[in-house]
Amino acid sequence: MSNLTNFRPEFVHPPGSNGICPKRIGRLDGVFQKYIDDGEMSGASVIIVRNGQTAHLKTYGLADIETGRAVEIDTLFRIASMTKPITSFAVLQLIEEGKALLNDPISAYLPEFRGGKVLESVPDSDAFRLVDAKRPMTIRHLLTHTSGLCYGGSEPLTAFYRVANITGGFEGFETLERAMMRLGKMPLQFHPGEGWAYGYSTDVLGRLVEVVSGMELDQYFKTRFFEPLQMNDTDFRLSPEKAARLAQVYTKAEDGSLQVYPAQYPYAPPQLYLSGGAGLSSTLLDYARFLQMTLNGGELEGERVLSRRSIELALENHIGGLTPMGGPGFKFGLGFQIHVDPGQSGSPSSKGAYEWGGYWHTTFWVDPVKQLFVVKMSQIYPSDHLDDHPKLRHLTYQALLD
Amino acid sequence: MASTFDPELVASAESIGLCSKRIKRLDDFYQSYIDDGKLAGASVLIARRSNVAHLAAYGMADIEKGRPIAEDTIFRIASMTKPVTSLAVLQLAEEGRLLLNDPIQAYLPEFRDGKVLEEVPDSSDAFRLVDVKRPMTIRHLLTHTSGLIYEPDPAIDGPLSAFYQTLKAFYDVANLNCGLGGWETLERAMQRFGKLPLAFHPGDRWEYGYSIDVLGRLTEVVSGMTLDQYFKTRFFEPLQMNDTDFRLPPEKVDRLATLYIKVEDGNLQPYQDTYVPEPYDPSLLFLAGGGGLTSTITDYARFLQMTLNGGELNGERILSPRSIELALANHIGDLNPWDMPGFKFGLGFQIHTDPGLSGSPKSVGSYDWGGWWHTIFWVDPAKEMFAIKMSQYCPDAWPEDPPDDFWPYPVDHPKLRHLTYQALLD
Repeated sequence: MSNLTNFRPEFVHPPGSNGICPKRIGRLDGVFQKYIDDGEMSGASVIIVRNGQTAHLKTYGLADIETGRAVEIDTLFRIASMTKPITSFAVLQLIEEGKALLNDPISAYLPEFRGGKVLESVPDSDAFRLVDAKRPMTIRHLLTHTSGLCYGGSEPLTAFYRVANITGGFEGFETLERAMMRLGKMPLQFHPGEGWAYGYSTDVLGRLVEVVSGMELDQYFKTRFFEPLQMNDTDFRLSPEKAARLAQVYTKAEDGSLQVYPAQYPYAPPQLYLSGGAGLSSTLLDYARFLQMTLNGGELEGERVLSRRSIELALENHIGGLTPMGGPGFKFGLGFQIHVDPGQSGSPSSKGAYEWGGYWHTTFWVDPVKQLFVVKMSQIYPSDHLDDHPKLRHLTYQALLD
Repeated sequence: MASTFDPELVASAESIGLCSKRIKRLDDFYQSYIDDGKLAGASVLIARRSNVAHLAAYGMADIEKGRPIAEDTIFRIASMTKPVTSLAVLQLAEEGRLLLNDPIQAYLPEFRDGKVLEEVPDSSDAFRLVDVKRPMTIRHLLTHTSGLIYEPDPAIDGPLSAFYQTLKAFYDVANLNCGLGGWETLERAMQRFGKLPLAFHPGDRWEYGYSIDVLGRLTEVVSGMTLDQYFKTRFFEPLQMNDTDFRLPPEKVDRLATLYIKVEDGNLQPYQDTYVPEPYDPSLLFLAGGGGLTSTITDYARFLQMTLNGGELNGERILSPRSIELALANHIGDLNPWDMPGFKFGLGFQIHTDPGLSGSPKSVGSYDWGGWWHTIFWVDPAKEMFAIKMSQYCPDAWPEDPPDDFWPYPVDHPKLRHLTYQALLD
C-alpha cells in the first residue's frame, strides 16, 4: 500500500505494468479516435488507474472545435451528476461527527419538508389525487433516491415541477435556501422508500450540509474535500482564467454536424444555486483523486476524509428489493450505484463495483476487486447516439491480464 | 372644472354641501374606536367638488413611540395599488401599444399552454388539468376573471375544499407569497405565475388574485421601464404624489405607520409579516402592482381627484375622459365580485350598480377598493365626492379557538359610508 501514500494520477506508469496489456489497451485508443473522426463527439479523455498507479491517460480530439483547442489533461468538464457522490460523502461526514443520523427525517433540519404529500394517479385516466405521505422522508431516502422527489416525472406530476420552476440543477439565479422553500412542498412520486426515482434528492442534501455545517456548500466542499485532496480545479463557479480551460458542450445537429450547446455555466454570473446534485466542474485528475480516496477506504496521501467503515456502509445495498436506473443486477448505496450481479446486468465490472455518470456525458466506475477505477470525460448533449460508455468497460477489462 | 386641487387645504364644510355638525359624528365614531383599542390610529379625508371638506387624524401611528397619525403619515396601501396599475395598462392601450382583448401570452410567453384544474365527476378528491377553453386576456386580468387567485389559506378562507387544497398544493410549490411585495424580480416570479393551473377557465368566474401583478409585469415589458420608474414618470411626478413609493427611502421611514394586530388578550401589538418585506427593506425586489405601494392620504386623494376629473389634475392629463368612462363600465357581465349583489367590476375598480341590492348608501356608478392592511376609498361621481380612510391593521388574526363573538376585523368601513352620507346636505 506504500504506493497509495503518494498518488500522482498525472504520472503514467510504463506500459505492461499493473497487469494491463499494452497491446490490448491500444484498442481503446482506436475506438475513441474513431468516434471523433466520425464526428460523433468533439473530444474525450480517459484515465485508468490500477493499484494506485495510472496505467493509461489519454486525450482525444478537441475541447473547442471553433478555436481548435485540444482536450488536455487539465481541461475542465462540467461533471453534473458526478457531483452527487461528493455531496453524499459530505452527509456521511456529518454523521461521523454526530451531527445527523441517516434515518432522521429531513424535516428536522429543513422544516419546509413537513407535511409531505404524494401524488397518486387515478388508474386509466389523467386524474390524480394528493394524499399524505405514509412516512417521513429521511436523509437515507434522499441518499438512495427513494425519497419520491424526481426530476419532473410525467404528467400530471410534471405540472407541479413546471410551477416550481426549480433550476435544472446545474446553475441558478437563486440560493439553495430559496429553492428549497418550493422543493419542500413538491408532491412526491411515491411514498418515501417505496420506489426509486432519480431526482433533486441530492440537491436537498446539499442544503442539509449547509444548514448542519453552517457553511455554504462551496466552502464546505473546499475545506473538507478539495483542499485536503488537492482537487484544485473542482468548483461550482469558475474564475475567468479557469473558464478558458473549460470544454465546450456540443450537440449533434440535424445535419449531423456538432454545434455548440448553450450551457452558460459555470462562468456566467450569477451562480447562486450550488447544486449538490449537479453543479460541479472538475478535471480528469481531480476526480481521480476523489475516487482513489474512496478506493483507499476514505484516505489519500495521509489525509483522512472518511472512516473506512463509512465507505463500506456507503457501498452496501440500501434499497432492498428496488432497482435503480442501471436495471437488474444493480442496487444503490449512499451516493453510488452498486453492481451486484454480472449475470443479470451483463456488465464486465466485478461484483461490488460502484459507479455513476453525468448529464453532459461523463462517467466513472470503481472496481475494488480489481483495485481499478476509470474516469471518462466528454461534453455532449444529448448523447443517446453514443455507446462509448458500455464499450469503454469491455475495452478496459479485455486489457486486464489478472 | 377642477383647475386646482390641493388636498391639504380644507374648505368650510358648508361651502361644499357638508353639515359641519353632522360630520362631527364621524370624528366621535373614530375616536371611540381608538379609545376602545380597536385600531391604533386612522385618518379620513372627504373631498367634494374639488375641495377637501374633512381631513382628520385619530390616534397613533406608532403606539410604542407615542407618534400620532399626521397628515403626512405613510401607510402601506396594499391593494389600493391595483387601480394605479390598471390605469397604467389603460395608458398603454391609449398609446396603441396593446389591446384590452389581447392574450397575455403575446407579451408574457410563460403564460402559453394555460391549464385549468378541474374536478373529476363522481369523485370527492380526484382532479385533472385541462387546457384553457380560451386564452387569458389583458381584460380578464383587469377584471379578476383570469383564473389566477391568491394562495388559498385556511387561516383566512376557513377550511378548504378538496379542490382548493389541491390548488393550494400548486401555489405551495410556486411559493409566491408576494401579493404585498417580495424578494425576487417580477420577471423571475412570472416564470412560475405563468405555469400555475387556473381556478377556472378565463372569463367564467370572478375571483380575487394575482392578476394585477401580472399586469405590473406587462407594463414593464411593454414600456421598457421598471414598474417603479413607470409609475414615477407617468403618475407620481405629474400628479405630485411625492410620497407614493414601492421602496421607502430612508428619510421617510420615520413617517411610516406601524402595523398592528389584535392579540388574544385584546391588546394591539406591532405586527411583522414573515412573507412581506418591509417597504424600507433594501432586498425588496418584487414591485407588486397588485399590492406593493406605500402612500399618504393626500397623495392618494390626488390620484382619486384625477379619476373624478376624467383623467386630469391641475392641468396634467393622465388619461382621456373616455378611458376613465371605459374603466367604470361593467366588464364582467352577469358575474359579481365576491358574489355580492349590487356590485360589478370595471377595469381596476369595483362598481356599485344597485343600492337596492347592496344596501350601500353610495350612488349608482360609485367606484371603490381597499387594501389588506385596512385602508379603503370610494368615489361617488353623482355626488362629486370621494372619501379615503387609512389605518394599519392586520386582519389575519384568528386565534385557535375563537370565542363566539370574536371578529378580528374592525367593521368601521360600512359605518364610515353611512357617517359620510348622513352629513351630505345635497
